[in-house]
Amino acid sequence: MTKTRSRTRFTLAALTLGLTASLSLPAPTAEARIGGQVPPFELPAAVGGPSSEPFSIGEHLGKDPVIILFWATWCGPCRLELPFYEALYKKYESQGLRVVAISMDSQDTVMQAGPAARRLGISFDVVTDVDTRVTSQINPRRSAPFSIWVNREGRIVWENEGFSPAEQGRISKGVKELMATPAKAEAEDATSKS
Amino acid sequence: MSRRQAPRSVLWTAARLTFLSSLLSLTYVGAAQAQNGLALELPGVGRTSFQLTSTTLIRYRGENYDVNPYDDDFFSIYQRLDLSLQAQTLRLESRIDAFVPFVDHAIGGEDCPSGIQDDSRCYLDWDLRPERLALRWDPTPAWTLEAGDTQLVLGRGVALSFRKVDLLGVDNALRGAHAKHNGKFLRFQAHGGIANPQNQDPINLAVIEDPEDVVLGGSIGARIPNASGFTAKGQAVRVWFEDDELAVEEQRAVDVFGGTLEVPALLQGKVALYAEGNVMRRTETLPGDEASERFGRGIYGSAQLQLDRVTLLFEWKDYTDFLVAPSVLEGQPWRIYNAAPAVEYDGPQRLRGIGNQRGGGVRFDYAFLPGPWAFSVNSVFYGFSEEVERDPWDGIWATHSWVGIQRRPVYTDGWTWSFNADVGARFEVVNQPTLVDDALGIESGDLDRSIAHGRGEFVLGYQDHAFDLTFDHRFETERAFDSEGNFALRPFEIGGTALTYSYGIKLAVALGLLWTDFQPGIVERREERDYIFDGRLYPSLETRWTFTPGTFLSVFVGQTPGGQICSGGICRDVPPYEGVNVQFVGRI
Repeated sequence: MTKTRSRTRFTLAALTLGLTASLSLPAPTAEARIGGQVPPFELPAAVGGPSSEPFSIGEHLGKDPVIILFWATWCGPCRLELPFYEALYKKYESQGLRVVAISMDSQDTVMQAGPAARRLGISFDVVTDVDTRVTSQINPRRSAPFSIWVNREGRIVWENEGFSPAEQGRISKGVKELMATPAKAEAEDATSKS
Repeated sequence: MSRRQAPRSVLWTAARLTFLSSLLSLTYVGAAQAQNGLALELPGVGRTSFQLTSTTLIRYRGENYDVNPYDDDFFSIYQRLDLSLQAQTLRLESRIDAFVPFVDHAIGGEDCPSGIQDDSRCYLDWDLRPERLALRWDPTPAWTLEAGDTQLVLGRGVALSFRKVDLLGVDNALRGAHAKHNGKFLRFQAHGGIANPQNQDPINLAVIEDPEDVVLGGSIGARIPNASGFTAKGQAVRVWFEDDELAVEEQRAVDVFGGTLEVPALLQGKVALYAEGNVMRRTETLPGDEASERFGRGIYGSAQLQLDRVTLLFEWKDYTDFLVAPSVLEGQPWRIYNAAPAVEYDGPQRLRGIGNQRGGGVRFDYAFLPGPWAFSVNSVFYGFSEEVERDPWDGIWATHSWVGIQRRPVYTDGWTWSFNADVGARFEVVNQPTLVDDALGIESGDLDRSIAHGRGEFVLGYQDHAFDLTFDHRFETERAFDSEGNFALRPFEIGGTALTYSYGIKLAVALGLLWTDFQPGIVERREERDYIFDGRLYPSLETRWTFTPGTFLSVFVGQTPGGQICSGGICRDVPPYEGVNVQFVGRI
């Protein structure tokens, strides 16, 4: 290979890397996928878990704020995240907050998902998605943990990969705002009255 | 898409880069337009929202210490776009994968010596394809109709399973037509299509050719309401495997017939029962010979007792000559279309003879509720044989026991901490030696392999700060030829530790150190490089910056060891890695 060709290729590579890096930077006011919709799904309760009935998200979309947590028994940060959302669930349950934890466990560990959630002190719905159909739709990178918040209008307002206890301040503030947002119908009603 | 001669000119390289840049530009423009939500009002469909997840991975791969000099020292860009349009009952989703290696020794490249350009050593190549495409329609809450790629599992995956296995870099889907009905009484699903594994292998960066394996499968059954969730189903699967140039057998196919019984909430949810039985017929033809057939079985059962603080789980497996793959000893993980429960420790251990093993396990959990502490005791015992003509109990006995302790975090305004640890040991002992064993001097009762393992994690958090310390180590032995030609037990060690600091949601910095001497040849080659560290050690540093929730940039610099990576009994050899990864993930 000649030196000229090497240089040309190196320049092209450097230009592309630079271009990619600059294009990949988020827009200054970017938010996390605001406005997206969650597809309708129903998943079975994790055997031995805190709930025994299937969870159907259609019953809550457009009415209640819903937090969807993807987790797995083999995922360390998930064991930190679920108890934190349990505390938030206890705080806002009476205001309509629904939390559902979707286990991404395969057939090898799916039997342990329910008992694992009970050991973590969880009282919200825990369901399983063995064939990962729902996971592949709303968590396409299949990250664990991965959290999605859906507001009372049924629109996604938050998506986040990972969890550490350092995030509790930011999440607490966000969930407080999520609960404070009125449903669209309520907001329009309030506007017309004023 | 089959392998092809890579374009060689700089112009072609520029064209590829331009295309990739355009793809990224579109992503950016889309992101900018979607600040307030990109939703359309489509006639007859209603409000339809657009969603996109973009993953960009720029990677520099240095030496990987194998004997192939043509897959080292190069940059690459991997771009993945997950796109979807979601309406009330309709969903269109697509995933586009693009990969560009900046390397001369790609397939047909200039640096590949003449004569080996079609050699497997020059395997890097650029690639662009719609990896996933699916249209889904939910006409009623009970019905789902789908065309395109989907993941699916029948029962517990004994008969059929198309899903992702991260450890192995396998992401399988069935491309075809799918129907599913979850009614009050009737449960039904039917699938037909061609296997569509992810083509870009994330581990060695090669492009995997799609196997033209045709799959038909489904199940039908009934759920009795108000009967503790009692559900009974029958299931059937047929797979026609594409002939493989590396295999002598032709016209290979498997048929699976079976059924499942499930009672998930007996005695007010205190008892859960599951049973599944399948019969498999495998047919194949040798050149110049008549078709032959043989039969196997795949049985799995579990019983779980759930009390307030106690969980007791019993599991049993009997997989005799049973693997939904071109052969029971299939070496290509993406062509294994079932994933029966392994009933084993959930760790990266090597399990052999997954299609021919029988035995069971028991797990006991106790939680000191409402307190934060819990512990578990586990034990499994089974026999297996890698020779499918043998009964699993005529081969090798495997025993594995481990105990775990856990303290979940309790969140307060002050300090928060959690702790997890488990330790265990696993032994494989020869029951009945094979002819090869006899020749090597291995006798009944001899130890064939052993593992002693332990791992732990301690997490400490205070307001916006958190530290996470992990540690794991395994002492293992396996049989290998020593320098004197004896087939003796060889000890080796594998482990690692990592310390991660997190600040709020914004920043995470992880310092890692992994170690292994599993492959002595690689240790020697690494030591020849005069590393500051020993040839067995693999240091790394990873930093992640989150711009907004879900949008982040992470940078990895360092090394990771290879070796044999296993999940659910399926293993693959992974080369060591050293280099730099820059990953950006953005969402709209």
